[in-house]
Amino acid sequence: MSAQIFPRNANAIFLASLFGLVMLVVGTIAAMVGFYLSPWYTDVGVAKAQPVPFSHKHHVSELKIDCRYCHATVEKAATAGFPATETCMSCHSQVWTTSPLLEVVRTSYQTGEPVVWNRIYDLPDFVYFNHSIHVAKGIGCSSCHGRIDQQQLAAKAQPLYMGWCLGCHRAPEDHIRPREEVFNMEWDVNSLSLAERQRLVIEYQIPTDGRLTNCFVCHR
Amino acid sequence: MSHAHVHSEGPSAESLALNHEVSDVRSRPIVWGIVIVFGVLVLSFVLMGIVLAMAAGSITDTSNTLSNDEVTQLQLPPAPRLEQNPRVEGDRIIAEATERLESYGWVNERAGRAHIPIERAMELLLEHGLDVVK
Amino acid sequence: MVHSVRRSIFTRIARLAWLPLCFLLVACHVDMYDQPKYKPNDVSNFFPDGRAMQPPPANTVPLNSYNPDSPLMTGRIEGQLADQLPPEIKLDAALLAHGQSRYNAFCAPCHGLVGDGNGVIAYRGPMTVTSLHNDRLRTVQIGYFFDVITNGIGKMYSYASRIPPEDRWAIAVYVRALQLSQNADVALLTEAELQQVRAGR
Repeated sequence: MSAQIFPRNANAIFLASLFGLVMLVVGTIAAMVGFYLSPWYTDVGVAKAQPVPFSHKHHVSELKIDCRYCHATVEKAATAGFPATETCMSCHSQVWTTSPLLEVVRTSYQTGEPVVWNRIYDLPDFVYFNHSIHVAKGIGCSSCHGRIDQQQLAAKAQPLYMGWCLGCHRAPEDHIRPREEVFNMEWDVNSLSLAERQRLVIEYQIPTDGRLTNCFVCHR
Repeated sequence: MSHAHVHSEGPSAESLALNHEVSDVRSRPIVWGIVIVFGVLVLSFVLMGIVLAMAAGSITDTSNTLSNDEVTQLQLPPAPRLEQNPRVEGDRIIAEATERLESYGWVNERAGRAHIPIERAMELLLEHGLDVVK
Repeated sequence: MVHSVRRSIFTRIARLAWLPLCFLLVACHVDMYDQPKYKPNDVSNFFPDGRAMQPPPANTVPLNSYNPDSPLMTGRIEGQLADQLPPEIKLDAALLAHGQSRYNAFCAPCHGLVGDGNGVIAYRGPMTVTSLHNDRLRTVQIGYFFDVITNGIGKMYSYASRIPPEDRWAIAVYVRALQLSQNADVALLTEAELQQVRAGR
């Protein structure tokens, strides 16, 4: 009998290594998928620092200011619009006029230099999202922006993966609401039955023949 | 210890002929193995807990808690702060205004002026034109 | 012999070792995500003031039928505040409903949903907000409201940048409806409504 090259536990180590290798590959893929879906990558729920610590919770939930007061172009244009400094000053020339937190705004109003806010939702440049059509067809602010009225510093509520966009474009009846309720943050989709929501889809003439999932609807 | 379970009379001729294992399995490494696996599991949970506790604040904290420094304190109105819950106050103002816009009542009974629901006022305005207000 | 075979296998593997790098290359290719173009509200490195959205240069004139001196755009007829709606604006239920939604969004924070100057902001802020329910504002020309929204008055800023002219007219008309709702001549009401007025419901 020739000399043993491998020790007795070589078989076990080989099997364990095979198992380990498979687990390593599966685990790495799972970890990457998990990372891809996690706030570390998507920034969902991650509040960003802003030049002025503006609180949506205070202005929307407590002061009852309509979304459109600041995001005035949301019904007419592709972008909802960052409010101009003048918009801030239309109240803050009267209220909190000496607040150090608002020094940035006052300086901006005097010099004409815009306040540079940090963008929360930054779509890729090959996606052409249009706010006005969504608002006109009964998709509410909170469907994408979440309960922004409960956030102090704003944070993303959705990772904006394409599959998520398509989910609504395939089944708009799951998210539609009456036009009057678009700016209502507390609206619950389930307060209308599915049949009523399907009627809204027809009334608002939202195509249900699959046209909404064509590439060119969002990519041009 | 590991040899204690070996039968005193030794393996039977039949087992030897069939090349069976001649000794019982040693239980100690198995027990240790299980203990180590669970130990590592618990340890990794603890480590995960520590990492999450350190990182989670920056991940999910949207509370924007203001600090206690002088600048922030300047923001707060002097005590006593009468407005305990601004949200409730806001709701109350909206509710009162809505109630007013949905009800009938006298504004000036002697002059024959009443307040009416806004929907009705809009109808009347369409019916009589803008100058009906004067 | 065995040695050379093993080396050729190693060489072959080594030659393919760059393949996994492709994953990195595709994943990090973000040219199309951030294209060299400006979108609204972008920061610009090109314009000296750092804005991608440039204000129109001085003396820019609008094209087509847009007439900045028409009653629709100024609220005035030959320099006097308009006492009627411009021809482009038709008084109907849709206009009123539109005006209501605009009023509630832009005016109600201060003037209140009722227009009595008791909005949520007015309640909290250290200021007195004009009520829309007084004889002066009930008898003033409709163009006055348009003018105030366009140019601001007193402490109130101009809302011209946020409310387009057509919407300003809708708000002005809705203000009239609000005034009527808070000061309606009982002669306009039906008998059933009179009962409700007397009952205060």
